[in-house]
Amino acid sequence: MTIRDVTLPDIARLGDATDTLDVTFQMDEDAFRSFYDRTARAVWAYISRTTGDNRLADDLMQETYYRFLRAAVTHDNETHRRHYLFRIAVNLVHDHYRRPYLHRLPEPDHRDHPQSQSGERAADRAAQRIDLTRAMARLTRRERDLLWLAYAQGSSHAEIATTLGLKTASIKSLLFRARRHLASLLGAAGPRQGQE
Amino acid sequence: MNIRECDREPDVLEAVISGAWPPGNIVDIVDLVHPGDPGDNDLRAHASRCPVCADLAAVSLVLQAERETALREARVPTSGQVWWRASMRRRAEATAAAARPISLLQGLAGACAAGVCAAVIALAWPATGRPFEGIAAALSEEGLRLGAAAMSAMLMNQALLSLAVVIGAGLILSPFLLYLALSDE
Repeated sequence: MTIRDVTLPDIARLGDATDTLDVTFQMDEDAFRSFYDRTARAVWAYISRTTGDNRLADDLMQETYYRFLRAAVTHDNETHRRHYLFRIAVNLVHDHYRRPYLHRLPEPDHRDHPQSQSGERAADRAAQRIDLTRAMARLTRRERDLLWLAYAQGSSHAEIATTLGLKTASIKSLLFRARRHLASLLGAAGPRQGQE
Repeated sequence: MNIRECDREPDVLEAVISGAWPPGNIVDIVDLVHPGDPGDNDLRAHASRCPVCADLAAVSLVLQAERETALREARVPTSGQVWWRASMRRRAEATAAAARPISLLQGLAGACAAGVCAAVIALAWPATGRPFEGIAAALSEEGLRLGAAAMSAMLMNQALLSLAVVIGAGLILSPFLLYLALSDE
């Protein structure tokens, strides 16, 4: 069941008839609002850029917070809570791509992005974004997750390992290969002497 | 020789994430040294020679810029909306879970009622079984012809009557069963 399945009469009936049901979450509303305000955009950005689909990001972000609220997990601190949230988001994205009819990222819609910029710089930025989106689409899911968490989110290796359910010791080499892959896709030649 | 890491990687990443390394496109990153630019020119000069740091700078600059764009374009619902929707959904799920045993009991009660009705009909109006008598007799004759003498017309009649009751009950119950099967989703 999703919130879209709940009709207005259902909502009225729920409000009247289910006051006695246990509908509490592991977090109170004020704490949730504060946490949400600090994390929502980052979660949306992660989902949007690793799936290439803003609408999907809207849906999966709400599902992420619902599952987070529903989970009966105690969090030691803000960092732990944040990692747990991202882990839910990562799993939701992976679940989404397990569906058989989804094999590749959609082409990005850049029509509304460069409006705040102007001229050549806006065109360069738009071209760069298209290059990046295409390059990201050619990475594996794990590579996208690793690179986004490490270089967009700025997460440490230990944090990435916790979020993705990997061993911390393996993150360095995985990141190296993912970075090499993306750099080559982006055409960032640079000096290559001595590289494997 | 494999070059997989460089001691200055943390410096490069820190410079990019902190914004000390001015954003630019990939070409800017390859042409790393720009006299007069803010930032650490020594670090840029190093990255121009080090393939590991060049890749790191290229990738992290692009992803940082993309993150900034994503954060700007994110149109997330307010925390109040998300909380309200989650509460409504939680309540709907709790209501559905609470109603599930009631639906099950209703289904069972319906099944029992249908069975009792069928039994009462069969007892009160034995004529309801007559259409089956002809079939039973025919089958019995066929059975006798084939040497199955033990299968009497009376037994056959009873068996077919029971079968009719079962089929009738199934027809009555099927809406309940369908309801039970589909009510969760």
